[in-house]
Amino acid sequence: MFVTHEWWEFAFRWLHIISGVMWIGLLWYFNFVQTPSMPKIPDEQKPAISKVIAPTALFWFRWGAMATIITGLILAGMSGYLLSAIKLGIGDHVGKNSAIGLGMWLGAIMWFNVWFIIWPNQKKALGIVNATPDEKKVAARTAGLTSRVNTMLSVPMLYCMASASHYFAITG
Amino acid sequence: MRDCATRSAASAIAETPLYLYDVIAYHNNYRKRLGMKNPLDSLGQTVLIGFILAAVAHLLISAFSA
Repeated sequence: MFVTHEWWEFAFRWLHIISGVMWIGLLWYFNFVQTPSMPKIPDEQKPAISKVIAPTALFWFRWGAMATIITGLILAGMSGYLLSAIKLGIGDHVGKNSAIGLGMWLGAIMWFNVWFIIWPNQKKALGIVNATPDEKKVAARTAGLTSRVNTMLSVPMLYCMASASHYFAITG
Repeated sequence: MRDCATRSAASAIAETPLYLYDVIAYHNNYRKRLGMKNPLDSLGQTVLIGFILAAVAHLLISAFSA
């Protein structure tokens, strides 16, 4: 009953959405809640964030990003628009593929930022790896700004993802 | 002739990131001289730029699929 191509396609879409909510939810938590709240927290209470909450949140954040991109690529492959989306639907005259393609590229940039800029710098900033106080300061700034870049890109990325099925698929 | 054109194209592609870096560095220094903050330090401006980029994305999608 469940073993149909359509059901598996739906199952990967469902997993893609679940992992995407985990990823972008935690990204927005960092940018809308944790970072603005840090200056208001007394110094003696700050380790609760930097030593306990932030490392756990970062774990689910980066693996949420990984799960989102893997399930997204599988979904695009199963749905038959992966190659068209990678070339942004250019020449195919299918608005849905252009929209999902642009969203995929934005998501891929964000995934790269998470794994290769934010996480290595957060490891220094949080003291997970050894770093001098100056290196920690630079690392925290780099990670924070890159996280802001991802917050900025999340708005057009979600526009592309949602409009692919709910606007461009209807209007062509 | 073709080798020369290929080398020029390859050189231009290789140097483009450097030009972009110069533009960004120049903009950053100019911004600092004027005492302007990085817009990404403001959450509101970050989200606003995101909405502008969404409008740009809509135009790009329409252009790509035309």
